[in-house]
Amino acid sequence: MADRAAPLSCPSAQPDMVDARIFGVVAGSAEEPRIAYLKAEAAVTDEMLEGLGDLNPTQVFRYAARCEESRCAQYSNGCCSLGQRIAEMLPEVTDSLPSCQIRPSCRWYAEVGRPACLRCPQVMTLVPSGGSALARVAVPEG
Amino acid sequence: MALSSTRKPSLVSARELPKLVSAAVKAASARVQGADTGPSSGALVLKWELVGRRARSLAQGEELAAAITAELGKSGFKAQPAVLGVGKEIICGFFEPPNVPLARDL
Repeated sequence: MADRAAPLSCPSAQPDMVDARIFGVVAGSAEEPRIAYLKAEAAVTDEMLEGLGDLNPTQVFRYAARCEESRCAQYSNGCCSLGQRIAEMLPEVTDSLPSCQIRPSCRWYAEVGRPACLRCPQVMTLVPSGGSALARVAVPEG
Repeated sequence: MALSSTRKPSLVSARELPKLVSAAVKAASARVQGADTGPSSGALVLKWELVGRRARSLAQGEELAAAITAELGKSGFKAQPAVLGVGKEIICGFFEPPNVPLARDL
């Protein structure tokens, strides 16, 4: 688990957040996206970002960034409610933990542990419209 | 949600990355084009982030949105009031000037 003295990272962040960095690519198919996790030496270049055109970067990449805590709608009772809902409501999509660069600081892993990681590859930050399980999970309670 | 046929998480090397990003851009474009855009089919609404709060009714939402933007206006911040119905939620507030929704034909 992560060292709670260090700031935790949001594993479903926006590119304009503090300390934002790309750790995955939205691979898979258009119908069933799956995150492909970047190896440490794999860096996304400016040229790749320019190739996005009008797409939102979160439609192609997964970003991590410093958790915004109480400034985020998903933050509740000192925890990320999104990570908890993902662990409770989404199916596992992998049998082993992804080799993920952000796990040491990941808030979902720190709070939920392995169950979050086994479901993480299906998470897209910009949730497609419609009644998908992911869209239902993304809505904060309250 | 259907499960993927592969249960092993994918890892991307630096060598594979450009090709994978290219494929991801194509897939994302396909998702966008396949999205239900309602009566103005072909138009994509970008920058929809609304800053605000929940309201109990559309009327209350309109009132609150107007009040919030009027208050912001006193500080010289020109915001666009807006009310959205999302599922059972009614959200009222404002769009920041650079984020006023933009309809764009694909």
